Amino acid sequence: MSDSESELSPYVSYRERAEWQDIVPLEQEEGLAPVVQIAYSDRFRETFSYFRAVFAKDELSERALDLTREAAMLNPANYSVWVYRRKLLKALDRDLLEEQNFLADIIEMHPKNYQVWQHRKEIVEWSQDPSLELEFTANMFTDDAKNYHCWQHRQWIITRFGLWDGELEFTAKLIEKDRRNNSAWNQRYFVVNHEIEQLEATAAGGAGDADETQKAVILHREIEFSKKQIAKDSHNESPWSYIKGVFRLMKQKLHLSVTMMALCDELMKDKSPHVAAFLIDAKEELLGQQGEGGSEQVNSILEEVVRLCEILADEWDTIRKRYWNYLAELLQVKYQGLPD
Amino acid sequence: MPLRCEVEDFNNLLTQSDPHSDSIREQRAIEITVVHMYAKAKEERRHNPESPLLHRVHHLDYLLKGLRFLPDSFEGLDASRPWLCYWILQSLKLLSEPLSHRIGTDVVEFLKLCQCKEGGFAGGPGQDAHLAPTYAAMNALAILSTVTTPEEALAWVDRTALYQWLKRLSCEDGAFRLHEGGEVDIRGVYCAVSVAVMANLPVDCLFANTPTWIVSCQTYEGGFGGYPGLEAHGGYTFCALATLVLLQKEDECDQDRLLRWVAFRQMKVEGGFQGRTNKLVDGCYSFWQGASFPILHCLMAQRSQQTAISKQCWLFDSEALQEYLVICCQHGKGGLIDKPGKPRDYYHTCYCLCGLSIAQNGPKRNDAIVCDANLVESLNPVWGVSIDAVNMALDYFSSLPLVEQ
Repeated sequence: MSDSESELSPYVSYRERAEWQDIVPLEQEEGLAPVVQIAYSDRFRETFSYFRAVFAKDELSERALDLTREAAMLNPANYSVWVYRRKLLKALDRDLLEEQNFLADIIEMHPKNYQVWQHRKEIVEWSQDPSLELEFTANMFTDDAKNYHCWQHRQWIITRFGLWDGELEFTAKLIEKDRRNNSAWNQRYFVVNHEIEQLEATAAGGAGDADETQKAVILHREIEFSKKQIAKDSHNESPWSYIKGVFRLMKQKLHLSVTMMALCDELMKDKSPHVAAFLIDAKEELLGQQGEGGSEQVNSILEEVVRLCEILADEWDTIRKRYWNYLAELLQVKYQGLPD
Repeated sequence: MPLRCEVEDFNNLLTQSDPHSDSIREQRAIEITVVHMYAKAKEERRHNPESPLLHRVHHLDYLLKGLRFLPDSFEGLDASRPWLCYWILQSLKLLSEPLSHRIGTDVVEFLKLCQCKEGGFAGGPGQDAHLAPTYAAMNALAILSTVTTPEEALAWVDRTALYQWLKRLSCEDGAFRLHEGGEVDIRGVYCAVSVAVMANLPVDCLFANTPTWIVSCQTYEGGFGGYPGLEAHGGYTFCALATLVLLQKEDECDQDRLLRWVAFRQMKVEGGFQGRTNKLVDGCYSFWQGASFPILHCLMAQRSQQTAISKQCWLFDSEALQEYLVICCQHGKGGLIDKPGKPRDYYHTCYCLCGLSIAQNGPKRNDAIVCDANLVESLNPVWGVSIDAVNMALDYFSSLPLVEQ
């Protein structure tokens, strides 16, 4: 009954199939009164009654495997079916490449289902063959470049099998295609974070200085990359969070970046909340360094921060008025030593 | 008091068109649809100042019917039936619908069929145990303990087996699998901790490494992903924060960056919340994102930020959220939805109403837009059930003997 195509074959009732005559279907327990009772189609009801029967006897056979395919296609979210299918695949020592093909089809039909992606992960783990995965996920992204399961799978593949090569370029391509694809920016951070971890691992092995210079090169590279995207669209939140994240990762200060501070000054005319927020964060760093409790310099910076919060609350970002008012007051209490 | 939709200059707020970005194109399309609906609502108010209304009767019809019978289009939820119980019961509770003891008993009897010998609850009778329907079942039972009695709703829960099953699902690094042979992500952690705390199970050993693992899911954006490295996301952020609160480890994450991220998830045109940066508004995030505000409020008020924290309201635009939900997210035939044009379902009905509850029930006041008839009941944001339901369950389980470790 199983095809290489991932479609449900024309329905022949299990009751009428010669090879299933020995099985007594197991009805689902429902209790006396209906509660969230689903009006199953005949096909659904029967398929799962046969599934329950083989599951109860823990039958590990070809026909059981075919049955799990039918059941999974009828309700791909039935996780019990997938667990049982994995047991069957192992017991019957099935060709995993064939399973990958089946999965490719069913994932395309149900791209936001947890079970199908987990199943694919398990198959790859057994076969130890990730060779199809980068292309598979890249292909899925052409339909939906932000599919969370797909990004999760891709990150797992890269981490598990060390396939970092070319991933930075991949993120650049996606960002070029849609600069507001936040998932692509997140992936870029994922790669850069790994780059830094590698550097620090090597440094720990004794190449201390090289590590700092290389970090500076990476930071510069990412500032230039983000700056390019920001210049196209200063209201795009993604590059702003991204570059702030990279500064934090490198333990560098925003206010010490001449490039970024100049960029902000230049972009104030766009009235982007992200520009103002960046300046607030940069100035908060300064406040943190000066220490709390009201010197003239602190008061002056604080005044700038409060002014920025006011512009945001009253003009540029009114939906977040309550947040900006809170932030202004919080910082004033913290750095001006106002009574609690 | 005028509504935001009557006074806001929406055209000034629209995202600037750019064919080069799919995100921008899609975002702009939603904004235009929503602004159109706000204009209609404004017009409607001119001859009917009591609009917009929450269509309680329609929602109740939809909910009460679904509690009993669902059409075959629900086959895809056949492994999520305890969820359907929770979504519907929680929605009914928010709408203050009194439920008969009879209905309560029937749902309890059904959930008994979903309990597994090995511990936990399954998505349906005879299926394997899974943390998500376990969480949903326990929440539903908490609600039912106020409809029937705590004994009837809760005494039969096998806490010993539940505990042993949670142990089997735990990973060394503090994370939890959702079911045996299943995926690991932050939902597992939230579901496990939530049921363990509610059922008065020993938590110290079981969750020793969990806070550290959760914190490793906080991203550079300030929100949390489903797994370390993944993008900050509203649903997963809720799981992270609520779990840290349940374990009393909320100080281990960066609350300031979290607050900044979640505040930025409110859409300046639509008024509702998005799940991730540069994605579209969705009614369900009214709860997943919205819940962070009362939770953080509580945490921050305890620290020295007392003066800064507003005594009256949460730190988001709660009127804008209410308008999005009531004007744009009600389905004509009952039930609530993701955004205009989407079909209704019980998941969105539940979380839109939960989000509405948070928007209306601030730290000191209960304030619905337009009129009190739109007011829904308040809830405990960590669990997503009403305060009395949580307390009833917690009280009952804490009166039971400790389970062996």
